[in-house]
Amino acid sequence: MNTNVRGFTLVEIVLTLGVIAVLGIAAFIVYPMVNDARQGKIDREFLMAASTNIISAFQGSHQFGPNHDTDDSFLSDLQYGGQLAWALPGQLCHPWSDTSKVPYLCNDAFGHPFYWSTMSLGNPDGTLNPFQLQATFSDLSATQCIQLLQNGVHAFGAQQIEIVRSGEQTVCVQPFTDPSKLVAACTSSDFVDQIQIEWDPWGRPYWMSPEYGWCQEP
Amino acid sequence: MRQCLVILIFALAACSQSQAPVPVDNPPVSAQAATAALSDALSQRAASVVRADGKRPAPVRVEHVELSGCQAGAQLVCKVEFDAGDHWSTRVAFWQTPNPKHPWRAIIVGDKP
Repeated sequence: MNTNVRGFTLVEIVLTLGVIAVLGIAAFIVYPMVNDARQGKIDREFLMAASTNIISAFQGSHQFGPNHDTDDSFLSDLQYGGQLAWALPGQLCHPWSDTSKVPYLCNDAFGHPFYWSTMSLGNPDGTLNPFQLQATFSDLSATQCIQLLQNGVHAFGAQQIEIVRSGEQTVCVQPFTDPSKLVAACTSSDFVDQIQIEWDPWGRPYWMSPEYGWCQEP
Repeated sequence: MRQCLVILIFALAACSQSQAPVPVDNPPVSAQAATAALSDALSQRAASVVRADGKRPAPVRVEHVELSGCQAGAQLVCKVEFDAGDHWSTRVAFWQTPNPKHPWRAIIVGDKP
């Protein structure tokens, strides 16, 4: 009888397929879960550090403040991708971001771009007074939204987070927001169009208080 | 085994090359998607300056978008000519999203318009 000694036994083939299946499950299910949690933590730490660095850099500038024309200031540079923003990529972006072309457009832990910008008050003479620093994240799934905001605004040292969805009222998350409402705000549709994490180092204008209806609590 | 290693090395090299910016003759973003993305980006930028009474400006309408000199990398960066009340020419970064309502996003990265 002629037997083929070079072939594999059924047990070896089943074992190999089993190992491949386990590795596949780990790669597609377990690894993303572990990785998302780890990167979510990095995101929080990064945002806290970056916002602190940026705010202190602004506050050290003579061109900074509610009564100054900021047209050529550090803030304007940040908003329009000027030289000062180029000088601080490590403070603006995650280390893995490609900052070679767009210095203030960074990649978050989910591989999506996010960017830094400011909110300003327009003066009659055309000058701008900044009152808010924002990190804007776009098109996050409900799960990513929850992961990003898991520890609430306290974790970022931010004053407020705005959750924006197409065609719906913008939801403002304040430090006192009930965590269950936060989850509800993230999960009412498949995608959150934008999440803006906001710092108010210059003070918040009176009309941005929740009682003035600027945006709604969830 | 040896062939697998060669294929793996080529695959890794191809992946690393795909991250580098490369000139793009036909950018993957359509004129319609670019117009929508630019309208969103400009409306948001306009809304970053508000009146003292808290009122936000009206959304910006974008027309006649023309892309040229695009480079693909982490984002697609193009020179863009368009009309939004007046004629603008600036650099814009586009990126694709998984959100069907906003398949493309944009941000102006060039000179202050």
